[in-house]
Amino acid sequence: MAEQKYNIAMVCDFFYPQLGGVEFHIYHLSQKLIKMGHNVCVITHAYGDRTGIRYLSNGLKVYYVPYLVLYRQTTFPTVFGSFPIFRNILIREQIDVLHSHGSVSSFAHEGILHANTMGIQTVFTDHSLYGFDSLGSILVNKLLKFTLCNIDAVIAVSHTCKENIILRANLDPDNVSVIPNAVVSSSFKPRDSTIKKKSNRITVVVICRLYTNKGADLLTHLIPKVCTNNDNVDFIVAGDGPKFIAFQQMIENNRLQERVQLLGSVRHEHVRDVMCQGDIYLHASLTEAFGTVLVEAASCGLLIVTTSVGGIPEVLPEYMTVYAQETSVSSLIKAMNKAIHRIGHSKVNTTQFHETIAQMYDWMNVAERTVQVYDRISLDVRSLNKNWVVMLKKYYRQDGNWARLLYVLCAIVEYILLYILEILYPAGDIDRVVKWNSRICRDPHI
Amino acid sequence: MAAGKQWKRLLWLKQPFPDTYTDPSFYKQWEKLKIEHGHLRPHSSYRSVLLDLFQFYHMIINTMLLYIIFAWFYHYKYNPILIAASISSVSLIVANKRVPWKSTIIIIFAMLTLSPVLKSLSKTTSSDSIWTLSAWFTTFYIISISALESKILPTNILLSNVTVLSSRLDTSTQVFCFLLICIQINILLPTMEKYFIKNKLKFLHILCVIATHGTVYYFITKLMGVGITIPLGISSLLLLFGIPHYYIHWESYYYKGHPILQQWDAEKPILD
Repeated sequence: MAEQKYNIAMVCDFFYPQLGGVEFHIYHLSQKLIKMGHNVCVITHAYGDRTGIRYLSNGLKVYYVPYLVLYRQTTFPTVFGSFPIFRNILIREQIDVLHSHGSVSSFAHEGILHANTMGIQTVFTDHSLYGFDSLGSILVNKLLKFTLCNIDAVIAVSHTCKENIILRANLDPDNVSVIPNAVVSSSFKPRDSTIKKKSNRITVVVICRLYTNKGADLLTHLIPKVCTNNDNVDFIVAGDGPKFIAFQQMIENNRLQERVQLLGSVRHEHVRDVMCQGDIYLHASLTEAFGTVLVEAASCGLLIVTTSVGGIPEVLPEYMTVYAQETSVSSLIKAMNKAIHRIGHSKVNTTQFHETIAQMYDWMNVAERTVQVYDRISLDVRSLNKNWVVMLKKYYRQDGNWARLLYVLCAIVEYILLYILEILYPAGDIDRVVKWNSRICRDPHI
Repeated sequence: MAAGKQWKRLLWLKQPFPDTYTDPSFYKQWEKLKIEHGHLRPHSSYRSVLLDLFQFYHMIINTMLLYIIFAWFYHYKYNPILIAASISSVSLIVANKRVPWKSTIIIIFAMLTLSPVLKSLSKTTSSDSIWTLSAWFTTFYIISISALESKILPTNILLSNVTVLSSRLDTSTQVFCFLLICIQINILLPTMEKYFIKNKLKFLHILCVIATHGTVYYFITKLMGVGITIPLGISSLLLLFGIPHYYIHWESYYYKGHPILQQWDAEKPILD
């Protein structure tokens, strides 16, 4: 059987020019999918004057939809508001699979709802972990139950993430794949081994946004103690955030200006250079679904010291990491001492890390596994999954006496809207785009 | 295909298992969760929720006493000195040895000096605005006293409320008496009740509660008739006994500290 090529739409609130884990995931996955001969476009909201259609490398088309941004680059959730533009784009691009990312992105949720209504296969990738007890997470989980009710496949970035989303959205475990993130190993090469290190000093690198949930409090308590205990250890802290001042105070109170460098935020392309100045990477996060930065640091040949929260224990082999048993300062110091001892006495060979990581985590592999998911769901294209009555039934079967009525109401309004849009803007009048790669233009109407 | 090979919970290892493979230990946890979901989650006892709610209800009733005193002066033109004297003597008997005399006398003289000032402070404001202001002050007072640990903010709100109401009274004597009574009722009465609870003087406490509620409901009847009192009383009782059931119903959705579900929460940093 010839390999099927898909027209894929990636939908997420977060994309370039904003930088972050989700953004890079979408970009690299799309690039590899294009390389495999699929056609990919990205739908996100407009960032400032970056609106309309733009092209990134290799014909990755990005739709920047003008939309009201509410909070931290998340758009205002309207349920139906984005339907006209989504319908237009999905028809223009002749999309086969709509792939949404991130459970706090309202665009992703709305995209899934509209695509389901239009009978397009839908996939959702979750990138983070959520609890069950705070108001915010309860709201997100409720929303997720609505949108993922009729999803065809879900992808999680780690096993911990998978189990989390199964419970949050009441999913069938057989429908949730685990496909980890990856790194572009050529961008995270270790420092040139021919250049000898000048002294026997050990440098510890910390790169994270300085938030409480990234362990900023632990770090401000830990750094002075490690500095007093080990005379040959220096720190480089990169990143910005609300806890930046706490770090400045920590440095001044303990007179560590000579030994702790506070860099502030670092551009992504310089992250590798910062990492390569160090021997140990310290990660004190309190919650983590995957922890791409750990893989990047290991790829640069750093020994990793980390808390073992969330999906972190799944990410790297034992010999590359030293785990702190709990998220406490004492436990992290113990782990640091172990790592310093290993580096100081050359008990660990970090030169092979880069090669090993390159084999473990590769975007091509991620793309191949994602396509397998697309293949699986497109096999039952003709099944009743996208039948409106079947979908309504699924909404009604959700628990929550009021919620399910609301779900059904939303779905029915959505179906009516589709008819109205069909009258106002008939699908036949919408131009079909000329695809970047003519090989895969397979429109049955032409 | 994967016979003999044990699945490992690792992402970096290429394993001969499909991506959709689920950790078998997760199924066990899930089963446990489902079973638990069928049963009632541990919740507070109906009695304790009811008592807490009653405490809140009682506080609202207590706050209402302020308006009754105000009505006595403003509407019924009762003799303020007589009421103030009788209430003060009762509170003196009750509080007896526990009162620091010096500060009490200072506060009373300060109030006496301030009464004419307080009376004229919001004189030019229209009565309707005063009633609205007072209603909001009362709302905030009730919220703050039930939500905050410290008593500083509620006491200040109470004083502001009394101040705005004072401007509607006729004489400085009335203002002074009103101030005195309000402080006694809103500060001394709850303190006294706490003392009763602490020393397990159940009978006195119940007596105190009945007296307060009796006064308020008697006054409502006198002012608005039985037609209002009965529906009001019944609805209060229904709410009082109904809300705890509702609360306990929702408590079954409360997952904080759940042994299985909390494993995805952000860990607490231990700064030892």
